[in-house]
Amino acid sequence: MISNVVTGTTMERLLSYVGPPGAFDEFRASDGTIQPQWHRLLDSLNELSNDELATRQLSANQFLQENGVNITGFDQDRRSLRPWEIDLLPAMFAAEDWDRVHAGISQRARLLDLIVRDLYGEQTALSEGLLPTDLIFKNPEFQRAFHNLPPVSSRLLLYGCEIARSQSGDWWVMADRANAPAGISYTLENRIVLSKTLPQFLRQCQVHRLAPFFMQFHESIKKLSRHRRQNPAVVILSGGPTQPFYFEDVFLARYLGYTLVEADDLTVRKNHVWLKTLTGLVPVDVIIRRYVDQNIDPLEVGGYSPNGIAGLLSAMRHRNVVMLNGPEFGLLDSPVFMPFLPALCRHFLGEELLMPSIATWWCGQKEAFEHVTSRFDSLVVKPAFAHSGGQEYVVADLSDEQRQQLLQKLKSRPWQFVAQERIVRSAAPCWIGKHFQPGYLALRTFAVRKEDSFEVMNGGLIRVETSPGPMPLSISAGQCSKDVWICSNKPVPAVSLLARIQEPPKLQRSNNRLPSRAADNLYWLGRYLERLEFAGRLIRKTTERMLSETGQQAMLDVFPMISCLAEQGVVEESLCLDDFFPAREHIESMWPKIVCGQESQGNFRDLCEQVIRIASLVRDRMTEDFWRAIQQMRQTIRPSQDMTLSDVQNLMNSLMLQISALSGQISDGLVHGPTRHFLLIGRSLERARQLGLTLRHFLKDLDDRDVIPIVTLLDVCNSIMTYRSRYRANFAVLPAFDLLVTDSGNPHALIFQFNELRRLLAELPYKDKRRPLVPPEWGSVRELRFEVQSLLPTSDRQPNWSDYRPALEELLDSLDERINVISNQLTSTFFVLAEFHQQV
Amino acid sequence: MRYRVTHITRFDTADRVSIGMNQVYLTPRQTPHQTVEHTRLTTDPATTTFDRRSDYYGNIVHFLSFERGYEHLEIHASSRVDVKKPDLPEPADSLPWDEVVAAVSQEPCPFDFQTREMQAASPCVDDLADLIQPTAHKLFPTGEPVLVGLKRLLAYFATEYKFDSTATTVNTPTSEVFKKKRGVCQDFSHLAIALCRAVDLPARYVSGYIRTHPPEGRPRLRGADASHAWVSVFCGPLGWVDCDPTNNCFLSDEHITVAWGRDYADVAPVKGVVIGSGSHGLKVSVDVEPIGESTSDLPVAS
Repeated sequence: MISNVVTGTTMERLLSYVGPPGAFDEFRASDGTIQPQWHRLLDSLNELSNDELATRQLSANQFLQENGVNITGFDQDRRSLRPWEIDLLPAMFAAEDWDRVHAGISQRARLLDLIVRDLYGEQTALSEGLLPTDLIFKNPEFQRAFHNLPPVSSRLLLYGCEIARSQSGDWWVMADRANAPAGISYTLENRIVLSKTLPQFLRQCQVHRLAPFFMQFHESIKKLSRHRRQNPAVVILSGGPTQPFYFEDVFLARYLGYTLVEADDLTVRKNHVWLKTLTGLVPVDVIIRRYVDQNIDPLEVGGYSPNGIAGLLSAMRHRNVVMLNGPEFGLLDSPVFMPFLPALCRHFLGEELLMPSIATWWCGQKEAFEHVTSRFDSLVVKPAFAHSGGQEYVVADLSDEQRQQLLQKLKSRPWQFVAQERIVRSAAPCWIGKHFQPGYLALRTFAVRKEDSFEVMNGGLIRVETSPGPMPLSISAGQCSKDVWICSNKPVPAVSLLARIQEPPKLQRSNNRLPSRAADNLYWLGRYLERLEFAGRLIRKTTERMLSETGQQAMLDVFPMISCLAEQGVVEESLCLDDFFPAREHIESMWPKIVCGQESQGNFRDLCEQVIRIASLVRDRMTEDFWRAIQQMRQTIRPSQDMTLSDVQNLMNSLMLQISALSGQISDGLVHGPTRHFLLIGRSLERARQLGLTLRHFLKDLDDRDVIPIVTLLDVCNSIMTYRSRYRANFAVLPAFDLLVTDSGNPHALIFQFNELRRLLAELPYKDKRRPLVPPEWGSVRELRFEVQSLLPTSDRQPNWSDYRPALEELLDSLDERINVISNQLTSTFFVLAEFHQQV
Repeated sequence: MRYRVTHITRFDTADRVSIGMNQVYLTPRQTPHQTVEHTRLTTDPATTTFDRRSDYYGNIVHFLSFERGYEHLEIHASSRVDVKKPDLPEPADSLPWDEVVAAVSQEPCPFDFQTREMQAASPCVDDLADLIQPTAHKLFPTGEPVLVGLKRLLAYFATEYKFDSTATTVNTPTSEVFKKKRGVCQDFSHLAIALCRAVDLPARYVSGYIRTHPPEGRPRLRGADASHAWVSVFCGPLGWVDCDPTNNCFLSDEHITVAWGRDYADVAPVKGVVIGSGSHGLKVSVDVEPIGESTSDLPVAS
C-alpha cells in the first residue's frame, strides 16, 4: 500500500512520486531533480485532471479489449485468453540515452547474425576455441539439417532484445530473441492506443515515431526477396490460433498487407514453395516465419513430427524462397552464448561489445561451475539451452531441500544450466489505482535489417512488475505494459506507413489468393453463425412463452421448439419427454442454467464460443467492425451467477442484436469475392437446414386449426412481419407454410436458400482442371430446388393443404441428410487442398 | 575385396499417392578403407526433382520428389566399391581408453574438434548415464587399452544379447534394449554407442551393408542381404575404429560403409513424406555380391 496518500492535481501527484530504494530511478536523477525528458510530459499532464486521466485509462484498456488484443492463443481451454493491458503513463527516455541503446543493439544483431552463419557453416568459433564445443554439440537446438543453408535464403530480418537498467543506470541485455521475436505488434498496438487516448501528448513531448521502423521492415523484405522485388509474394507463416502470440501474427499480416498462412497452406513443388489457394497454387517468394517450432520440414528435421512443410529446406537450398528469420536463428534465443559474446565480438567484428549481457555463467565450464557453486545463493539458475527462458530458480528463494536437489541436478549434468546475476531493474512511475506508484521495468526493443547493418526501433515495449524480484522474460509476463517514448529535442516529422506513396499497383478485380483452409473456415463460420441465430431465436421465444403464459394449453408451441433444440443437442433430450408439462416449474427454474450454464456441453453458450473460435481463425480476413462485434458477443455471454428467466430474455435480446450486426457486416462490410461467398454459402446451407428442422418439429403434431403454433413458427423463422404484410392477422397453415417453404420472394424461405446457393455456386472460382461438366454440388442443389418447387401445383390450380403437407413432410425427412451431402461435396471440391500428409 | 551392392526399396500403396518426397542415404561414401568406384541411383517412376548433396557429416544424401504421383515406387541404388581391411595393432598395445578421453577433452582439442560431437547424447541415443554407467565402467576398467575395452564390449553383446527382429521397432528406446537384452543391429549399435559415450569415449553410428556367407554347401541367395549398422569408436592416434556388436568383430573387408552420423536418425536409409491417404507396403531387397564370384545362376531369395 502507499504510505502517503497524495491529493492534488495530476501533475502534483506525479511530482510527489518517489522512486523505490535500491533501483535506478528513471524519473529523477540522483540529485533529486527530474530527468529533463519527463518535463514535457509533466506539462501535458498539467492539463489533465485526475478523473480525466482515469477515464482515459479506462477507455484505453477498453479499446484494447474491443480489438481483441490478448496474449494467449485459442487453445483447448478457450477461457484462458488474457487481455493485454496498458498503463497510460509512458516511460520517457532521452534521445541521447537511446543512441547508446541503438548502437549496442545494432552491433549485437550484426554479431549474432555472424555467429549463426559461422556455426552453421565453417564453425571457426569452435575450431578456434572461442566457444566450447559442448555448447553446440550438446545443444539440442543445434540442427544439422540447417548446416550450409545459403545465406540469401535464410536471413536475420528482425531481432528482439530484452534489456534492463541496473542500479548504476547502465543498460544490460537480459535476453536475445532471434527465432520469431514476439512483441512487435503489441508495441505498435500500445502506440496506437496512446495516440488515440493522449493525442496531444505525443506531439508535445516530441516523441519519435514507430512508422520509420516498419517502413524499413517492409523495404528490407522487398530487398531480400530473390524474385519480383517490386512486388514479391510475401506470406507470414504462423503457428496458428493455438500459439500464444497468434494475435501478433494476425496484426502484422494486416498492418503490412501480407497473407497470413499456416504450414498446411504451403506446399513444395519442383523445389519452389507454393500457396494452396482456391484457384490452385500461387508461388511464394518470401516467408516471414512466426512459426516457432524447429520442425519446419518433416523430411529433414524433427524426426516424426507431421508438422511443417515437406521439401522446404530443399527449396531454400535451391535459393527459390527466402525465409525471414531463417530457422537457424532460433539457436540464439538461449542464454548460453552470453558469457562468450565479448570474445566473439572481437573475433567477428574486431570491436568491443558495446552493451554487456547480464552476468552469466555456463555451468558446462569447470571454472564457471565452481564460481557458480561458490556463490550459489546470489544467483538465478535456468536451463542453458531452452528457447524462451524455461523454468527459473531464484536460489535464495529455495528451501534447503530444493536447493540441494538443484545442486544435485547441476552436478550430474552441468552443461544443461546457466546461472545469472540477480539485478534490480530500474523503476518508473506507473498510474495504478489513481496514484503514481513505482513499477520495475523490463524493456524489449527490436532491430530490423537494413542492408548489412541493423536499424533499432525508436521505441519498444515495457512490461511492468510492482515487486522487485526477477521477471520472466516472456512478453506475456508482468502486470501491465507501457509504451516507450524516446523524446527528441526538436519536433518529429509525421510519417505513416500508409501515407507513403508507393509504386502504383496494377489494377485488380479479384484476389484469388484465398487459402483453401481459410475458405473452409469461412464456410463454417457462415454455418455456425446461422445455427447460433436460429438457436437464439428458439430460446428467446421459449423463454418469452415461459414468462408470459401459465396454462398448459397455451404452451403447445413450446414443445416443438424444445424438441428442435434438443435434436441439435442445444438442450438435453430428456426435456422433450412427456413429463415436460408436469415438471414445467422445475424446468423453468433450470432454464437459465440449461441455456447459459458453463457445465453443459453443446449448449447455447458453447455454440457462441464455437462461433468466436472459428471467427478467430479467419480474423485476418474480417473487418475491424466484425471483430469488434465478435468481441462484444464474448462480453455478453460472460458467465454470471443466478440468472432469472428475464435475464435470459435480456441476454438473448442483446445477442440477437449483435448477431444481426454480424450478419449485416457479412452482407455489406466485406469485399465481394471468395471470402464473402463462402460465408454466404455456409449461411444459406445452414439456414435451409435449420428451417427444415424447425418446420419438421412444428409439423409433427400440428393441428390445422390451432393458430398459436403458426404464429410462433412464423416468428422464430423471422417471417412474421412478411406474413402480416400479406395476410394481416388471418393466420392459417397453408399460407404460413407457403411463405416459409415455397415463396421465392421471402429471404427466409426454404426455396430462397436453394436459389441463393445456385447463384453463389455459379460465381465460385472453380479451377478449370478440376471442374467436372456439372460439379456434384450443383446437381444436389438443383434437385432440392426442384423438389421444393414441386410442392406447388404447376397449373393455376390453388394448392391445398392435404396435398402439400405429406409431400413437405417427406421432403423434410430427408433434408438434413441431403444438406450433409452437399457439405461433403463442397469440401471435396474446394477444401481438400488442405491435404493429408503422412510420413513413410 | 570388391563388391557390387544393389539395394532396392519398393513401396506399394493401397491408394494412389498424389505427391511423394524422399530423402535417401543409399550411396556409399569414401572412407580411408573404402574406394567407391561407381554409383547409380534410379527410380521408377522417374523423379520430378533429383538432388544429390553432401550433408553435415560428408555423407551423400539424395532428395527425390515424385510430383506426378504413383501407386508403386521403386528406388534402385547400385554401387561398386573396393574395401580394404583396416590395420589394427595388437589390442593390448593400444592406448588406454581413459588417455584417449583425456586427450580428446583437452583445450584446444588435439584432434578434429568435431570428434567431440560424438561424446554427446543424440536423438536416438539418450543420455542414459544413470542407467548404464556401472556396465560401461565394467567394460572399460581404468587404464585398459582402448581396443581391449572394445573387444570386451563386443563380447558383451555376443554373450548377453540375442538377435530378435520381433523384440523391437524403429522407435524402441535404447534403455529398453538394455533391459530386454534383445534387438537388431540398429538397437545393438545404439546401445554400444551409449555405453561408449557413458565413459566419454566418442562413438558414432555407421550405416551400410555386410557380406553374408551362405550355409555350408548351399549357394548364396540373391537379394537376401539387408541393410546393416555398426559403430565406430574414436581411439586417439588410431583414429576411428569400426566394430560390429551384432557380429562380434572388428571390421575386416566384408563391411561396406554408406554413411555415418550420431545415430540412426542422422542417416536413415529412406525417409519419406507422401500426400494422399492409404497404407503402404514396404519391401527392401539388398544384394552384396563379391566381384569375381559368378552370380548369374544364383537362386533368388523369395
